[in-house]
Amino acid sequence: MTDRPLQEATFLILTSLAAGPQHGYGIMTDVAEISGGSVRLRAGTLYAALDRLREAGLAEVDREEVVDGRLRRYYRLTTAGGQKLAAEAARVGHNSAVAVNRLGLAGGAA
Amino acid sequence: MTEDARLLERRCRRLLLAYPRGYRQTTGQELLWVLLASAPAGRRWPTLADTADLIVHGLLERFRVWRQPEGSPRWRDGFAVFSVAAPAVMLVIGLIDTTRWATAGPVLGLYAALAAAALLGWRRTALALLGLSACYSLLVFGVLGGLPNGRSAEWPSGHFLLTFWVLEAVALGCATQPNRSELLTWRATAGLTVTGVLLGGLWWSDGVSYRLGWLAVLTAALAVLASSSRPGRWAAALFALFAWPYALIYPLAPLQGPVMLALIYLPQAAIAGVVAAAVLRARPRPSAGSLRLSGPGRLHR
Repeated sequence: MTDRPLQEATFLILTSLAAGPQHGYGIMTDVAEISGGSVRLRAGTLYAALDRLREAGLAEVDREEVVDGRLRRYYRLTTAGGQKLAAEAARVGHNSAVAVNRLGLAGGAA
Repeated sequence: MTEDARLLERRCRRLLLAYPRGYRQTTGQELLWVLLASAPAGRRWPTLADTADLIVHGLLERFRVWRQPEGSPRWRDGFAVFSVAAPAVMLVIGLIDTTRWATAGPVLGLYAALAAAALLGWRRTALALLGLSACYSLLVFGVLGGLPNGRSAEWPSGHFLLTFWVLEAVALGCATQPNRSELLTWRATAGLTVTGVLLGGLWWSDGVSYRLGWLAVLTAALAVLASSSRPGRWAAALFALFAWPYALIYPLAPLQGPVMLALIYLPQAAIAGVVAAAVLRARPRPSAGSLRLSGPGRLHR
C-alpha cells in the first residue's frame, strides 16, 4: 500500500486523522466535510479502509471509550501514515499545479 | 431508546451477520454505533446502500479470513482440495453422459487442465481455464443450443454448471498456500492432465464401455493417489460426495421422476451445506489483543 498512490477515500481518512485522533463516526462526518459532501463513506467501507490502514501501519488505535454502553474506538495517524499522507499530498499538489499551469498556458480552456 | 431506534438496531445487527463472528466481536459494536449514529431520527430500516455496503464488505471479510495463512488452515486446505476435485468430478460426469450433463467435447480437456492448474497452485491459470470453460458452455448450450454434431443438451443442467463455476471460483480464490505436495507429485499431475485430455477426446466416441473402461482406470489411479495422504483422502471423500448419484443413474434409470431428481441433487445440497458450514465457522482475523471486546458491549449471534 505504501508504494501506490492512495485512493481518494483513503487519502481523506488519513487527512481526517491528521488533525488528531478520531472515532469512526467522526471520521465519516469529517471526510464528508473535507470533500465538500462529494465523498460519503458507508460504515462497511470506512472500517474496511481502517483495517487496511492499520495493517499497512499507517493508522492505529489511539484509545477506546464506552459511551452509553457502546464502544467508541479512536484512531490516530502513525508516523508512517503522516509521511505517506505528506508524500501523497505533495504528489497530488504537484499534479494539480501542473494541470493549472497548463490550463493557464492554453488560455484557460476550463 | 425509541421503538424506531430499537428496530433499526435489530436490523443492523442482522446485517452484521454478514461479517465473520470474530470480526463482529472485535469491531461489530463499533460498526453498529456508526450505523446508528449516522441514521436520521425516525429511520427504522438501514438504507439500501448501507445494506449492500455491509453485505459486500462482510462477505469480503469472510473471504479474507479464509485466505489468510494463519486464519483457517482446515477450510483453506478444504478449498484447495475442492478446487482440484470439483473439475475432476466434472470431467467424470462429462464422460458418463455427455448429452445429459452438457459438459461434452473440448470442455472436458479444459476441466482436466483446470484440475491440474489448481493442483499446481497456478490459480490465475486455473481461473482463466474456468472462465474459458464457462464461456464455451454458455456459447454452445446457451447460444447455439446444442453441440456441433447434432447432440442436444438439457439446459436444466445449466444451474449445476453455474454452481460449479461459482464454487470453483471461490475455492480457487480461497485456496492459498495449500499443501499440494501431499496430494500429488508433478509427474502424477502431468499424467493426469494427459489422461484427461485424452479422455476429453472420447466424447467423439459412442462406445460407452470404452468410456467406462477409461473411467475405471482414472478412478483407480485417483484412489491410489488419494489414499497416500490426509488431504488426498479428503479429496476422495469430496469426489464420492459428487459422484455417488451418478454411479446410480444407469441402474436406477427406470425410477425417473422425483426419486431420480433427489438422488442427483442431494450432492449439491450437501455441498451447499459444506459451504454454509465454512461460512459459519470462519475464524476471526487475528488482530491486536486490545481490540477484543468483552462484557456487555460484546455482540452475540
